[in-house]
Formats: sequence, structure tokens, C-alpha cells
Amino acid sequence: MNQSAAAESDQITQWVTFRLGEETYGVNVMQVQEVLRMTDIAPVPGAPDYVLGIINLRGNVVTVMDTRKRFGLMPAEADDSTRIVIIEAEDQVVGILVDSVAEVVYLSNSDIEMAPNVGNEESSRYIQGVANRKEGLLILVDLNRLLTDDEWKEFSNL
Amino acid sequence: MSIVDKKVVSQLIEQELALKAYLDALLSEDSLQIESKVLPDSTLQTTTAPVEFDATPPSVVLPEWSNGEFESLHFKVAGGLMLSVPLACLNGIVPWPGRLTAVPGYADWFLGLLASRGYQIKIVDIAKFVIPENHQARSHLVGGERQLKHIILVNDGKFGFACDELGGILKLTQKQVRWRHDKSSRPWLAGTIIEQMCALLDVDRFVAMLKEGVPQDDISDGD
Repeated sequence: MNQSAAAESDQITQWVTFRLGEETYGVNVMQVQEVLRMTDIAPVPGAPDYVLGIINLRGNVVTVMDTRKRFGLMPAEADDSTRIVIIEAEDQVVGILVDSVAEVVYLSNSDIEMAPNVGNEESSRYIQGVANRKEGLLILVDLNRLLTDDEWKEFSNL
Repeated sequence: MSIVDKKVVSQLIEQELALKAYLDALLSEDSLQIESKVLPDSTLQTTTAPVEFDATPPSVVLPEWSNGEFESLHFKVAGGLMLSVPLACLNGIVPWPGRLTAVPGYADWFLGLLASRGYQIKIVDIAKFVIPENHQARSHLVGGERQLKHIILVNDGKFGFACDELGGILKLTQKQVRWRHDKSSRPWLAGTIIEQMCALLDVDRFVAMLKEGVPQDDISDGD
């Protein structure tokens, strides 16, 4: 492998990390627009169970995803640490509710292992990889695959 | 004995019966298959003498690690299911860390990841994997609180089997194992250690199945 190829393969990327339950997750910083404190979320009648509701973000309606539900975790009460991370995925601006936002970390590709090659679960398609850090493992989420194509369509039509 | 005590005892007996039924089905199925496949209909019609079966059918290709004398480690999972892994396939044993990194979206038998020795070790609840989801014994065996104590590392330490209790190491020869010749179901089962009536794992096939993800197990509930 020549030097440029090696440099490319060990590219540095930035990730915004957040906590959900016992684990720390990371999403690509390029897809994160802003982080909001918890605010009133208006439920949407008839919405799928992975939708918490909508918020008014400076005049724009943003749909907030129930990330705990999506990740198969038990529901939890919101507290002072709860945040809504506004992200852009699949040409949509959406909010994801998380327990807390931790930090922005730099990862080189060599720190990241592919998603566990265990089982053939369609529901784990949004796990992009897992990074080794001295603080523990960081689960990297592919936001574009958090929902299926049909679900993204439904999301945009709420 | 109070009514509550009687109920608890009754539940324990039910669980033991369910486990026994499962283990019996697991370990005795092969002999039934051998009988049905080895004996052609014509043989059945023309002979009345009892037919003796070799424990190892000639068509079985035995694993390389079983040549000569080999050693195998017993371990117990989920309420008494005893399994054995050949030492040739064992990469180490680590104490249960208390907590794993759970990764969402995977099957319930994938417990999570353990960062150790520079690897992200994939930890599997072997009992949940080998006992089919629709089997009546499953909820009894794997549904309650588990007392996991060790992780058995295989596949160059990339996979770990969570285990409740470590057993001893047995020195075995090929003759002490009833090898399976038909791996179309339960390919993870290399055979049965006859004296201990214990399932001997085919680790390579087991890991291949874990990667594929779908345990093909056709033991029915018997109902």
C-alpha cells in the first residue's frame, strides 16, 4: 500500500457521542445540526411507535424520533440531561431523543471495527461499527439507516 | 409446606422435566436417524435378528483434533445443559466481566461485546442459541436470572461463550464419542460423549452458524 492509500484508509472522522441507557453511541458530526434541551413534544395522532411527536424549531416543524424505542430499550423519564439532537438524514431534518450528549470525538478508521458479524439481523443494519476507546466501546450509528426507506417516507409525511 | 412452597417446587419440577425432555431429544435424536437411514426396508422384512449399530457410521468424517487421544472441557449453561468444547478449539477462559457493551438490533443470544486483548470479543449466550425459540423449555432455561461466571474464548478469541459453570477436562478417544453423520440439522453438534451424555461442540461450524445467525433446530415440543 502506498502512502496516500494508507493515509486515506486511516482517515480521521469526527463523531458526536451520546448516551442511551448504559451505552455510548456516536453519530457523524457532519449530520448533526444542533443539540437542544428537552422541550415540549407534541404527540402526533396515529404516528408510528418510533415517533415521539413534533417540536417547533424556530418556525419549522421537526419530528422527533423515539430513539430508545428504536434501539429496543426500555422507556425512561426525561431529566435535566435529556437532549434532542437535530440531525439531517435522508434529506430530512429530524430530532432524536437521547439521555445525554457527551462530547465530540476524533476517530481514525483503524479505531473502528465493522458492525459485529453475528447473525443476519435486519434490525441491526443501522450499526455502522464499533470503536475501541480507552473509556470503553463506542457504538457508531449510521443515521441514514436508522429507518427503512418506507419508514423514512412515512416520517416525511407526518 | 405452604401453598407457595408447593407451587415453587412444582415449577422447579416442571423446569427439570422440560430440560430433561430437551436434552433427551438433543442427544438421542441421532440414534433414531441412524436406525432409519442405515436399515433399508428390505433388511427389515428379511431378518428378525437384532441389528447392531456401530456408534460411528463409516461415512462420518471426524475432525482432525479428534485423532488419537483428545481433551475436552465441560461447561454448564442455563440450568444444567452440559456442553463440551475440545481443548484444541479453545483460546482461553476469562472471568465474567459483569457488564458487556450491548449492541442494539441483534438477536437475544448475542449478549454484546467485550473489549479484551485488543479484540472486540463477541459474546454469545450459547443456551439461547441452541435451544429453539419455540421450544417449551426455553423460557424455563434462559428466561430467568442467570449466574454467568466465565467466558470461553474460541475462534482465535473473537467469539466467547458465556457459561454458568466450568466443569472438568476429559481425556477422550474417538470411540468414546457417538459422532453425528448428518449435519443437516444442528451442525454445531459434533457428537455426544457417550459416558457423560454430554453434547460435544463442533466449534468451527458453530461459529459459522453464529455468523449466519439462524439456528436451524428442528426439535419439536413433542406436542
